Amino acid sequence: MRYLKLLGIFYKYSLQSELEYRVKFFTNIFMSIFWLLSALVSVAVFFSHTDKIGDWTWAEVLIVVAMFTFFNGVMEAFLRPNVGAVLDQIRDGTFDFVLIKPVNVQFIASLRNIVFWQLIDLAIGLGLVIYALAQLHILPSPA
Amino acid sequence: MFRKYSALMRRGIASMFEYRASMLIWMLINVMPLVMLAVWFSMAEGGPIEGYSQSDFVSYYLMIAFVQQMTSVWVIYELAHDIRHGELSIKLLHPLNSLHEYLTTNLADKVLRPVVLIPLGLVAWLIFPSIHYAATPSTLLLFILALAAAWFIRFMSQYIFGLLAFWISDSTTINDIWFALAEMLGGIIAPLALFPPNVSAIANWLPFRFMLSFPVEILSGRLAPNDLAAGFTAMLFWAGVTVLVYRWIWRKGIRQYGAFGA
Repeated sequence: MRYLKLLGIFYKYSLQSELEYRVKFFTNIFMSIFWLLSALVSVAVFFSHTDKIGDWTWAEVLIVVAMFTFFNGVMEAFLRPNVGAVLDQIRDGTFDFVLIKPVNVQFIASLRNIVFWQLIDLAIGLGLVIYALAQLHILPSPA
Repeated sequence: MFRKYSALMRRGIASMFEYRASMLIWMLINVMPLVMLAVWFSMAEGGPIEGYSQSDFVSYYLMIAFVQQMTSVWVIYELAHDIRHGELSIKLLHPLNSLHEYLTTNLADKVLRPVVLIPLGLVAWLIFPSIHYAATPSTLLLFILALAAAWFIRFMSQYIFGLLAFWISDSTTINDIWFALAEMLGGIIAPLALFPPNVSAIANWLPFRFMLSFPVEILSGRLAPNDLAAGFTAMLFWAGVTVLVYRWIWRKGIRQYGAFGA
């Protein structure tokens, strides 16, 4: 419970510090969409000459692109900001301040930061997976 | 001027040798053309795609990789760093426009790169003996001209984006967009001829083609003489545009820089 509360505070501060650089926040979101579009364009060019690459159809390849976008978002949002910060802190010696905190050190070192705008990759990725699954007529059914 | 350049080049080559290990890694790290080659290679298994057979794709993408290596630029990172940390002030005191210093640093790298790339190319040729180019003396000459111009357009456009650091803090984002477009429309994801006709009609005139694809097209021998002439005209045009834009931005930027100091 205490840890959940801490997590809430961490994320609040991450969001606040991101919103300080508002232009960067929006250009980053734009870049996310741009990268996805450029991936889709390349796949579209391939499929303008063929129906299948290997045994993969257009919708199946879309799922691969979508999953890549999704997990890339997970990495960039949750993992990279923390791993990168640890590297910097160890080099600067400020990691000491993390070590003396009265909470689990691994918790604070691996969850202190989150990059909010990267969550858009999760949303886009998920949306694209659902779209591609619908194209393949694979829909969740009550078991 | 020639003496200044040769001195700067020697300096550049010396500093390249200091970082030879990382230089090698930078060279090998860009595998994008090879990934795309793998895709097209497997797609052409059942027969040529719009006149491109498997060995055409191998020839095309190996030359794309070569041109990409020989035109690689990273000046924006140097420039952004120098502007932000005030090190540009020192360069401004030198008796030669800073452009030439950055230019020769990059040229030194281009002198050294073939030492690694040509043996790699020979290995590729042993593996795929069907690699073929239209290598007559005249196409080779045109290829070298186009290669030099492609490098120049790349360098100048990135230098221009780098100079934007006088005004904005993340000029590298704009540069990222530009070079992503260059990958898309410059012939990496597909030879431009394989795009839908209306797209390739536009892409043929955009600067991105002249940053990568055009030299390769020359060597492929697929360009008719009037395509060549049109291509070189457009290439010259874009090179000229970068010079004009650079001059304008440099003049404005240096005033801005002086106003706030570093």
